[in-house]
Amino acid sequence: MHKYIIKRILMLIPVTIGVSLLVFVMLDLAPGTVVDIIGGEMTTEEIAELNHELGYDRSVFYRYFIYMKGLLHGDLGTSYIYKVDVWKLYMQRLPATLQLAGASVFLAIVLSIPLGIKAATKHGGVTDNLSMVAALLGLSMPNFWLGMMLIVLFSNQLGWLPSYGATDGFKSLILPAFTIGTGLMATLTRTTRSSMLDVLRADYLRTARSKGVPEKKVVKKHALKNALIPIITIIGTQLGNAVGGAVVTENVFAWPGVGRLIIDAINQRDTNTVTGCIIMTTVMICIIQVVVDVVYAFVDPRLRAQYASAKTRKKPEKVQGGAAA
Amino acid sequence: MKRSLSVVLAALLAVSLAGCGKSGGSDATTAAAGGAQPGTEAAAAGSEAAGAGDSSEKNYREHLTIAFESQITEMDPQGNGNANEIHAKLFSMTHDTLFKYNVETGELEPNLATEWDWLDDACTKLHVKLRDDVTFQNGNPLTAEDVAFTLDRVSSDTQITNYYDHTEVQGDHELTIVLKTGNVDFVYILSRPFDSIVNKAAVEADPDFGATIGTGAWINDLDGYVAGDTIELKRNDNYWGEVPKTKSITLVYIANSSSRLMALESDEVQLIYKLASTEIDMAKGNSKIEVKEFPTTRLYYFAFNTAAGPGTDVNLRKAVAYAINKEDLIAAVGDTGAMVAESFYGSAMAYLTTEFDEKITYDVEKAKEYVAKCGGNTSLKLMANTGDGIFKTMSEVLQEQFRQVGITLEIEEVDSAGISANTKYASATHESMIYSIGTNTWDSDMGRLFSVGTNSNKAIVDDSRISELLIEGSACVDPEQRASYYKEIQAINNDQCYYVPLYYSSTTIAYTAGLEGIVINPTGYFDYSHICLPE
Repeated sequence: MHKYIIKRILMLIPVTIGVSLLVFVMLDLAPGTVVDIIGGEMTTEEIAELNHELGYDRSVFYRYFIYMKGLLHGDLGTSYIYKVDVWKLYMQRLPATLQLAGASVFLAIVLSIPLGIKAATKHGGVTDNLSMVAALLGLSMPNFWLGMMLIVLFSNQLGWLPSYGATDGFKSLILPAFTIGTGLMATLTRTTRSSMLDVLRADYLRTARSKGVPEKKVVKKHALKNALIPIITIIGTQLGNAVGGAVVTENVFAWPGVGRLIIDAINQRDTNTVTGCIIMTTVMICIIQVVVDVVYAFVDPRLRAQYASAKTRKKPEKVQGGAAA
Repeated sequence: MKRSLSVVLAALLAVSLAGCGKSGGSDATTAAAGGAQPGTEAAAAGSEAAGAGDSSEKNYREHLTIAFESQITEMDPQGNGNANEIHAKLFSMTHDTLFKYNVETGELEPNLATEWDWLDDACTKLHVKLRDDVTFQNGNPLTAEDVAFTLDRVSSDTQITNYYDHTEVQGDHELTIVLKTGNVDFVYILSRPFDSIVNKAAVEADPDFGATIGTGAWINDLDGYVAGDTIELKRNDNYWGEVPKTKSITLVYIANSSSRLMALESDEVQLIYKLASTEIDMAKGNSKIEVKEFPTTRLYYFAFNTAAGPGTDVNLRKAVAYAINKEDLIAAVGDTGAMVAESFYGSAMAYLTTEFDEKITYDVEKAKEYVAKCGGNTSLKLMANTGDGIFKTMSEVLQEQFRQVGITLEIEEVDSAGISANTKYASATHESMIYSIGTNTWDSDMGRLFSVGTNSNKAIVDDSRISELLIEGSACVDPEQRASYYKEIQAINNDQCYYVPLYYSSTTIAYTAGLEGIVINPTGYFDYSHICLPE
């Protein structure tokens, strides 16, 4: 398991190189540079000087090499627009992004898994149909519209919750988390339901029931554990997406998250900020995936056994190699 | 026409909402100061008594929030790329300029400078005396060295760098600014918030954030600063002028127009700038908020690349100029307060004229006549920042209007960085474009759009007569002579159609009912220093 985790972490190196190169090349292909944004009132000479200072008079690969050299020393560069260290900039925005991602996923887990289970166990009944209609609604509603409606109701009409920003602590979190969480809830409810339906029809559960195991125990102890793998996969993916920034929701609620920062930086061709933030987001997503893999092992004994057998298989190989030598 | 426009502008543009200094006991302030703006010597003197009277009569909300539609990306007045309306609003609060432009009278007033005069007829040596009672927010006194340091550090603003040479310091509070080329408007240029004075010692000690320290009524609270999102300001209790009644202000970036309006409606924000045209009526229907629409000096225009491609043909340029129905264009973009622009010139500039030999107005037949003279070359590419809904709409309307006179318009869609990159003077690739510029109140400002080599010269104009007139106009002190220079520039543009003026846009602010102290400036350089909300 440890080796697996280390291997996954080492995979970050080629991923980071690939992602950063892609960002550099794509921003280079887009018309205009940050100099065009900040140099509106400059003379041609001043622009040439600034281009030279920022390396825009050299090739994209040269700039990329310089950036990566800095990255090896832990330097994500300095934002051309904000004149702030990108690491600082990212860390200023990360807490808000994590809060929002965590809250929306938590909300989805707490509400959708029980609902999905209920829908599966009452398959074809009122609960099932209602939950599926609700899930369809959740999937169909665009986030910007839902966010606006929530603001109109809870901020403007009732005055209970703030309409923007992250300064009111938990209260600030509720509306944006619910907005993002709605789509996620819908996906998760449907996944839980279908996964549970598959498992509930399995032979071993029929056996358990015939042996007189109570239905509650059948569902909770035997069925749910086996149905969790696809659910965890969805949670992991959605958490990864949310950590990357929910741009639309962040925009509606003026949420000071990473997504909005990246979009604004792209519009302003702030290559250092875009690259630095995307590298950090990549790292975060990789970490989440490793955590998801670890959770798989805890949930599914078959995977645990796979990791263990991989470990034991390695040892005799070494002995054999030694004998051959 | 010019006079009537000026009157309209004076009445409409220079809307100065009833300020803190104009309510309750503050009426005495205005009387004592002879109507001077806050920040002037007279106003500062009168305000102390008035302020005392006020505090016994009114309570003000301690904290206010202002929402902006764009990011404030830095807090250094001389930083790169911040010479725009959004940053001007911040610098007006945290820093002070040497001179202050009074939007009501159109005159310059003392601010950090108490006196100034040109030492020569060519307007190349400006002698300035400073106030001796001003301190920066870090406690350092304002000196002539700070002014020299500030002007020396301007590097990204051609309005300064094209003229400024050096400063001769003559004691703690006296200096002479020496220009490379004479410019009688230089004092007006120095009234822009981007030329606010910073503290030399603070910048040298902290190159990153030292310039955030000014002499203004508001102090940047760096602890609450979230780059590109939030700026926290706290009141400068040692301010040399009238101390604000509000204790703290948050400036927050809310990009979405509807979200800004809803934040205002729920009283989380007390002032917003720029409402979507579809939201204005809705906002007006809310008794808890007030809405002000006013014309601005922002000029939307159509520019040809006159250096290469089809835009070199004056017949095509004229055909286009006659083909544009500006009223329809304004209606299509939904800017109900916009004014048709008949000359390519700032609406608040003194020498605006619309009296030309060949007055160009919408005329399909005339357009067709010029099209016939083009020899079949009637295709044109239009570069537009279609990420901005206004330009997208405009380009589609123009496409249809041109089609009616036989001109084929192909729209090249780019974003704001793309349009800047493709329209640089030295390497322009556009054939034509639509764009806008925030024009200032002084006439030499038009030099930005005609000067050879300047990137804001989007028509890539290289007209030797205009260049001569710009130099002569900027250095001329005789008003009649100046008028003739600037009117000739406008006549040349009208004749050559390098630029086709479209319209001066309007804009909107909305705020919590009862909010006082907003000084609106049609150039967009609002001063929110003294906003306050009686409770």
